[in-house]
Amino acid sequence: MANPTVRVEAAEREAADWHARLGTTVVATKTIEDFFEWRSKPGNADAYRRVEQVWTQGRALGSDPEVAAALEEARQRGRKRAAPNRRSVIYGGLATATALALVIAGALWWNGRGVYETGVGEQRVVQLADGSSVSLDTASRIRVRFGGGERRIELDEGQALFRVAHDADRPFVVHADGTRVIAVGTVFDVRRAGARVEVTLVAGVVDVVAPDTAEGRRRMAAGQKTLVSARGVTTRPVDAAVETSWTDGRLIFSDIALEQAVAEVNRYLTDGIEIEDPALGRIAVNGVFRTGDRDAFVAAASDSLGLQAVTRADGTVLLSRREK
Amino acid sequence: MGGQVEGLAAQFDRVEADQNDSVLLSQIVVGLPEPLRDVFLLSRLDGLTNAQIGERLGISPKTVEWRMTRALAHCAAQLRR
Repeated sequence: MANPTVRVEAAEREAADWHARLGTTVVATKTIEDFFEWRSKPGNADAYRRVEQVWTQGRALGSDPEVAAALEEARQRGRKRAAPNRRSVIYGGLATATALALVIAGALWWNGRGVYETGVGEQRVVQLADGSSVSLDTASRIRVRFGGGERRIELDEGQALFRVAHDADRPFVVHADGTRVIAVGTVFDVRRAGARVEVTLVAGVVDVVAPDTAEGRRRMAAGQKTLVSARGVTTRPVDAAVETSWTDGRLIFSDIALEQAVAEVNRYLTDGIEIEDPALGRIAVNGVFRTGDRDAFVAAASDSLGLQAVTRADGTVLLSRREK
Repeated sequence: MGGQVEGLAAQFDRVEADQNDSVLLSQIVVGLPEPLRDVFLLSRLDGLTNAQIGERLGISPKTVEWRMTRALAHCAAQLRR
């Protein structure tokens, strides 16, 4: 089926180059602006989407027997070359151990009766029985209960992006602390932090029903974000690409206050970052970072803002003004 | 900004179709030339860094990155509709 081979075009070559450039630890604001400009040209966004797709789905191909065999060959070739080098042998062992751990984790994970969760710094894509898929962000937990009349998901904590397979007879309903997000076939992101629920709609239409309000259903359009909190329900336009950037393992900050950026980075870390002086927290920052890459964020923040970073005894990092 | 959001929405309209792509993607990956395939698999499935892959295959990390980029471009081209 992969034959005859389709010729690689400029858009795909450039998309793959961009993917590599954006994957380095620290990316300059200028680079991001250039990227957005490149992506706005016809065909480029689609090429980039396909590169991202290969990158993300590539991780999950191990269950295919042909891929598994090819991987084993690749490992053998590596091992043969690396045999005299003890360090590489350890790497090989580690990789095998990791693969085993993944298999075991996969098995345990299915026994949870529809409960899917991620630890701090983990992300995971869950394929559901109806053809929908859920990307789970760091420290998140969902419970899945599909019945005859409703595909029900409880978001207990954290954040998830839902790509909902169309089924007009069975609405897909995400419950988060009393708020309900009702979809038929669409792509949306729900984030829950305590009693605060944020819904970002990427494509299609969803209705949001907040608890304890007279309003009833609020219909959202693509590119909007609805916030449900104790203070009520508000909807505003957002850049959905930025809001959902975590799904490809990146955080995009575009003129975000340092304290907000730090809070976001900390969601992926067991030992987080603190800002000493609240006045520093209001400085706007820009950049693209891999989720969980604390060192890259700390290095970029301290370089560009002239801050000093100190790792404390408890493992957390303190950002403060550099002593003159 | 609005244009970007619409662009993304259009992309995500294909999400359902994408789910069938993982079978197709397996075949595409298996069909990659061996040097590209080795790098792709050791990176995506074993989670090795470019430096680790380079050390195991006896090539420089730069060559690993170059092969990875070509592997991604090749696979992305095969998924074009």
